[in-house]
Amino acid sequence: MSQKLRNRVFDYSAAFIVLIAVFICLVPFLYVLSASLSSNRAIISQLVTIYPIDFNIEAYKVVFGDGGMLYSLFFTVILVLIYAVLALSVTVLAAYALSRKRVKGRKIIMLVMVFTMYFSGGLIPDYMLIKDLHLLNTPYALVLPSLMSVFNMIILKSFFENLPESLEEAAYLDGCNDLQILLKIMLPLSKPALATIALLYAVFRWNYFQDALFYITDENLYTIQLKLYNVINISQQMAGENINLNIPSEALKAASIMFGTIPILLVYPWLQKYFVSGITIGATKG
Amino acid sequence: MKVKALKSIFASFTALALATSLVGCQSTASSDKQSEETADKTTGHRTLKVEVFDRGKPGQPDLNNNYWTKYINETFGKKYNATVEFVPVPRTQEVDKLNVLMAAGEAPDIVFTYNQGTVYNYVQQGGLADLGPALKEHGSDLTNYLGDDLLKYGKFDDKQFAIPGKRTVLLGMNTFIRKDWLDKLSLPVPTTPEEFYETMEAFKEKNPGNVTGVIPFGYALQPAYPGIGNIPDAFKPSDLSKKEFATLQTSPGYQANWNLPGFKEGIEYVNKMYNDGLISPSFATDKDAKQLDADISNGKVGAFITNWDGPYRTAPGTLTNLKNNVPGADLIPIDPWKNDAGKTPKAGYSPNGMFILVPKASKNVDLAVQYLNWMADPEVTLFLQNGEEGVDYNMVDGVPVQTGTTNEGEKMMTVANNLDYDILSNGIELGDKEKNVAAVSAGYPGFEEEVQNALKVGSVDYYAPYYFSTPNSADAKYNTSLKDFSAQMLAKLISAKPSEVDSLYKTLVDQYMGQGGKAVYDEYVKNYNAQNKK
Repeated sequence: MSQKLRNRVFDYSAAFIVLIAVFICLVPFLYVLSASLSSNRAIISQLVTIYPIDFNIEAYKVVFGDGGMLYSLFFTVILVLIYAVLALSVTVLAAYALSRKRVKGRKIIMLVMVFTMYFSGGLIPDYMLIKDLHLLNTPYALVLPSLMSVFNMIILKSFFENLPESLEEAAYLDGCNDLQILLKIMLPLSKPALATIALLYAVFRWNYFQDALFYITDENLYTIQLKLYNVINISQQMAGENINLNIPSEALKAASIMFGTIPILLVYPWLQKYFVSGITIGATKG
Repeated sequence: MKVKALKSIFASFTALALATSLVGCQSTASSDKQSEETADKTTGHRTLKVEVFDRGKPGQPDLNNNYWTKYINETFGKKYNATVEFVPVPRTQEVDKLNVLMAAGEAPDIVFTYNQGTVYNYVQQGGLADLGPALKEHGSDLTNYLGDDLLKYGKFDDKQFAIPGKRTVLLGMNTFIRKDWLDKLSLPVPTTPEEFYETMEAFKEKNPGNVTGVIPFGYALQPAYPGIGNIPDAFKPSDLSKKEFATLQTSPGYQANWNLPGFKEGIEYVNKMYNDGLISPSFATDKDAKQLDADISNGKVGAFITNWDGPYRTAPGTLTNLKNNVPGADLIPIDPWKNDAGKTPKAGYSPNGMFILVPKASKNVDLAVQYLNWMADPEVTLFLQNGEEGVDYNMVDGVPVQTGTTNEGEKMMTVANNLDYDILSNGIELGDKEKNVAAVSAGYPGFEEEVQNALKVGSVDYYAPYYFSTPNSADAKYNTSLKDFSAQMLAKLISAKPSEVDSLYKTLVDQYMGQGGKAVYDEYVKNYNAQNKK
């Protein structure tokens, strides 16, 4: 077998395996999509696989006709944007400072931060803290407590550490102060990393609902995921209720899931170019 | 699996933190409330906060500002110079959220839960207000409506820590069979376990539905409710003493009661069906009964045991699906589990609904009881459950028939008969049993007559669980693990070889008793003796 042929065989088999992997990832998504467009009869009878049976869009009419759902979606989009910007800023400031070797006490600061990755106060102390800070039932409760992820900060810190120190020195000699170095030199070089971290934050905020569940009782501050959680998890088997409850149909649940998932999916293609370069950027460095 | 594990960790953390913090935060909460109160002293106007379940129903109105809350505020609120404010709590996370609210002293003045263990924990930790005095002063209508028979369910250590709601439909399970299959084979409706077995064999042999993979008896082993339906009642001796019944049948009737006489025979019956290929082959992995629902919908199943109204419910809608998938198919409720006295006993719910509680931190205990007392007025109940006569419903033979106005918009009921606002009743309440039956069936559009029949069949020889005045603390401790173990035991026993069931049953029940079953049993005996000493 010639080298060329061998390469081609390798390419095709790799592509084949990747295709299978892609398909496996897509099947659950396709299932929910087709369920949302199928009749309840077909879903319960397990006739639906990856294409709709008894095609109809009734479920979407209900979801889009639900003002509360649309409102929550809009609210969550705004919340995600604000949160991602704030979280990214705080993370950059912490990560950049901690990546500079001349900062004194940075090991101790790191230790304190890492500690919070392993230990936390628990649900009720958290709740009481939020309550005593008078953040209950405010949008701040959905932003401030999770403003910085130590994990993301460490990723970004390692990234900053890999940028050549000579850049910083050169900027110094040209008269930049620390903030200018960060804004004008470091950040433009870190776009892929920043995009990745921003996306991680945005997806986290989009998907996380426990804080809304516990800190919020005002329906105007419900996030889309909390709404989804309520719709999807309700079942006929709720303890103590042995009558016809008229719960949402399976198609409606599926349509709600699609409604809550597609907006965040749309962000991915837009950021994809950063992702690709984000992955390869460190490849040739030793 | 992962989510489950997380959930239990979550729950145990909550419980742990609760124990340490419940008392501590009450003081701060009450001082907050005090300042509010003094501010309002000039007018005497008060705010009563009431929990409401948020079921996330698409299109639901603002739960704190809709037709129903306006009605409550305009009637009760005006009369008592109070504003009633509703605090939504997600239905699926109600216990977790309630724990947090209680621990932080942030709970509304009126909260509720179906979970007796949760109530018991609050009682133990001193988190609940004793409603006895307020009930005496302000609760005469409420006391009359519920009566001692119901109020006793809310008494702990002789104190009225909870007001139990009233459950109007007490039925547990029904057995359903394919009527068209019986007709096709000219078979009679089976009325005994033996006849039922023969019918199942005939279904398998003759395959009257002409389907591939016929399942004469559909069964799913759901770990959340491990049991074999009403079957053990056919083998339970009819002359069981009161004490035996009280201490041996302590799980809800449709769940496993391993030491109950006759339960083993019930298991053997199902085991024989399994070995003869009569029950769902994948019963042990069908944990949420989705496969069973699909098999019934696709017309493969001949008979099954489920909630008394299971096939008629809107979701999953098995009978509607079945009729669409298999024209001419029909299901009827039957009553084959006849015991040695010729009766067909069926375990059902006890007559209490949810536990309505007032946290100790509340400054509005009297107002809370006044609220419930107001709600016990039949006129108020009628309005809250049905709306306005002539607009939202019409009276037909004394039974309100909805006009459809409460399905959407501001008037939308997130659950049939508005049970989330009318917390005193679980199920329609017209103050009359027969009217209730007729009204319940009106909640199943298209199946009114069938549901009336299912109610009739399911009520034959109904019995309630034994009432214990003291909760079982060992049960609170071991319930979850024993339930899990029960599910494993059922899976092993049903799929065992018939000759091995006897010895395997003994071994497994010994293990069950060793893992906490004995402690639970002993405490039931102790509680029973104490209760019946007088």
